[in-house]
Amino acid sequence: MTTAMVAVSIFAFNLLDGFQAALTPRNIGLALVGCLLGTLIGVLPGIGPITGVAILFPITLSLGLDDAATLILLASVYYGSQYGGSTTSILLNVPGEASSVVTTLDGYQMARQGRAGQALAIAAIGSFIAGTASVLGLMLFGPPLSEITTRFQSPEKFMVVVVAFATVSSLAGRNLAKGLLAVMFGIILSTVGTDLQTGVVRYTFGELKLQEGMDFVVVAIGLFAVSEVLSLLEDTVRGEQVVFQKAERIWVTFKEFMFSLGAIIRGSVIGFFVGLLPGTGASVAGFMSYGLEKRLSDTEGTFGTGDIRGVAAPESANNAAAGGSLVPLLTLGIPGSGTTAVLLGILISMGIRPGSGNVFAETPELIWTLIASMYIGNLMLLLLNFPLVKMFVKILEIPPWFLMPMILVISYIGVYSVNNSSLDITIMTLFGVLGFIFRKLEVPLAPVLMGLILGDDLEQNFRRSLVASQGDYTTFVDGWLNIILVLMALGVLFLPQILSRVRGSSVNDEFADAGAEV
Amino acid sequence: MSDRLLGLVCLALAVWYTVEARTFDGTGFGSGPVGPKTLPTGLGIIFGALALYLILRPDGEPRWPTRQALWQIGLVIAASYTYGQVMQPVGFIFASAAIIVIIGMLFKARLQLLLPLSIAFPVVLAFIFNNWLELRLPAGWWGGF
Repeated sequence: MTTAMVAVSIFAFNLLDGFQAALTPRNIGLALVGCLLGTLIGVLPGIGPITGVAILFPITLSLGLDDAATLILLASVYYGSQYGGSTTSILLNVPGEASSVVTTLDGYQMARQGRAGQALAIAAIGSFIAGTASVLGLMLFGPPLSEITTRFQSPEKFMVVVVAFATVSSLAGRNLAKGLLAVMFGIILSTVGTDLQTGVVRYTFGELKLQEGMDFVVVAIGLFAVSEVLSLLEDTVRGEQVVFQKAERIWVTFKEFMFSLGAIIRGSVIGFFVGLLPGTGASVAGFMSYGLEKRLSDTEGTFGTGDIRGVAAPESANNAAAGGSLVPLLTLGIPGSGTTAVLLGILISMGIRPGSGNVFAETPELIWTLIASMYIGNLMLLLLNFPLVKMFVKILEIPPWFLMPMILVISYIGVYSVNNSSLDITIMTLFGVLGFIFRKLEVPLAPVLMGLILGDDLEQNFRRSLVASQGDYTTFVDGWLNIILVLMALGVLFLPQILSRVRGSSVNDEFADAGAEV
Repeated sequence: MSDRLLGLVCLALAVWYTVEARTFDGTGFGSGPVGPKTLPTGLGIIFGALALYLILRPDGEPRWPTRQALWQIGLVIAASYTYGQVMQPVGFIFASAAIIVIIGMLFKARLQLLLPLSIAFPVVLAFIFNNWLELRLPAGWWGGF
């Protein structure tokens, strides 16, 4: 017991250090800018969190900031865009990200009844409380779990990447085969370029620039941003338009807050633990807590007709899950969603490789600064959104003829800045076409990105393992850690399928609908 | 049918990828028991198997764009591709202005608003990036900043 308390107090000190690092005027300024930009991105139709973070990452690099500051800025963007996504769920019935799909159920109904302000307020308050809870949880669970990674040899590291791949393919849509196909395609992309160990040049079509390999930023912007512009163009030609509800000001009465508090607390707890499990992202957490809340508190059948608890529960849960999913992300390097996959790519490009080492021990400053900044971001969003929601809602009125070309031009700058190469713009365009076709055929995009980001790790650990075992493939199932990892991979892949056979398909179709947008 | 087509394309990619992998020299320094060809070979085989599965068990048809939408999407792709080709010689500002006009028109902009914006926006961006951020966008016909 005492050792546990000592451990907790050490983590608390680390977090305090993190706050100290994050709370310089410059960093607070960056968090503020990040939250504003993020909310903007989340609110704008056509750029989701993945696109936003992917476009901003190279531009952030051109600011010449240090690693901690870059992380603070991008983490704030990530948080802000999540919240912006909830705003559009409530006002537009258009979820910004899969995690806020459930929020539309009661949130949009509330908005139609003229109670958009309360819905937005409870979403912000619930997210803040859940965010606080999940930072505490992360502090408790992160470091000890991260300890395990020090026991990982190459075979275990290889298997962890396999688990990550299994996770993202099973999450990402209705058809598991398409999820796996997307991951494999991503890994195939990662093998383009010069092989690090032997110097052999692979799959470059003789193009010199490709010898350095495919850059994940170029691929991400192409797959997500360009294809989104193409999709929106198709909608415009069809004449489809969204109708949004207005929110005059955000507020909630104390009585309404107390009415929702139970839902917020339950949502936070469920969300965090669901987020902990690799393979269950924020969207699953939202559905689970909504389902539970409905069973528990919906005595008068008001859920789905604009019940404030139906907004409070999933909004708290998805925020807590975003915090909880940092545990597998920072300890094992397993991202739970497309956006966290991009965050992982950014960490890797900074030389921080969770899962391959104990990042809580190796780079404590950066990790705790990141955690502290997410918390500060939460607080800032709470403060920002109350006065500024009207402005954010105005942004929705920006016409697509202005927005779409601007998004493209900023994407071009982002892509160009990666290598100062216009070939990257051509590659981005090709991936945009591919992304559009994949969207149509319901081939999920996030796994492609994951495959590309983690493919190199997969191969390096694959080869190191086989060097150590002198070519014996049983090394990958040798030892209890590996067995557990193999079972985890099989579990996340096939458990949802088996469960849906047993229980009937309705719930899982909802999950799949949510996942398809990840 | 669409899924089958995707499966066929992926199958072709898998075959090419695997055959190509066999040509990598795995005997050089640092290759160990498995060289640069082993993982790609395995990947190609799994990828091919998944492609076959898709050919045999395709999903239903998606809603493809109408002919008119397809034509417009094609135009955006062509414009974006051309942007990559001409950005260096023409420069960021003029290339961007052109693509803003093309895409703005497709999204039904009014030309009298679009034209001034199409120049102003890239000029502002170029100014910010070239002067305040550590990035040099190609100047091209515009000349220096």
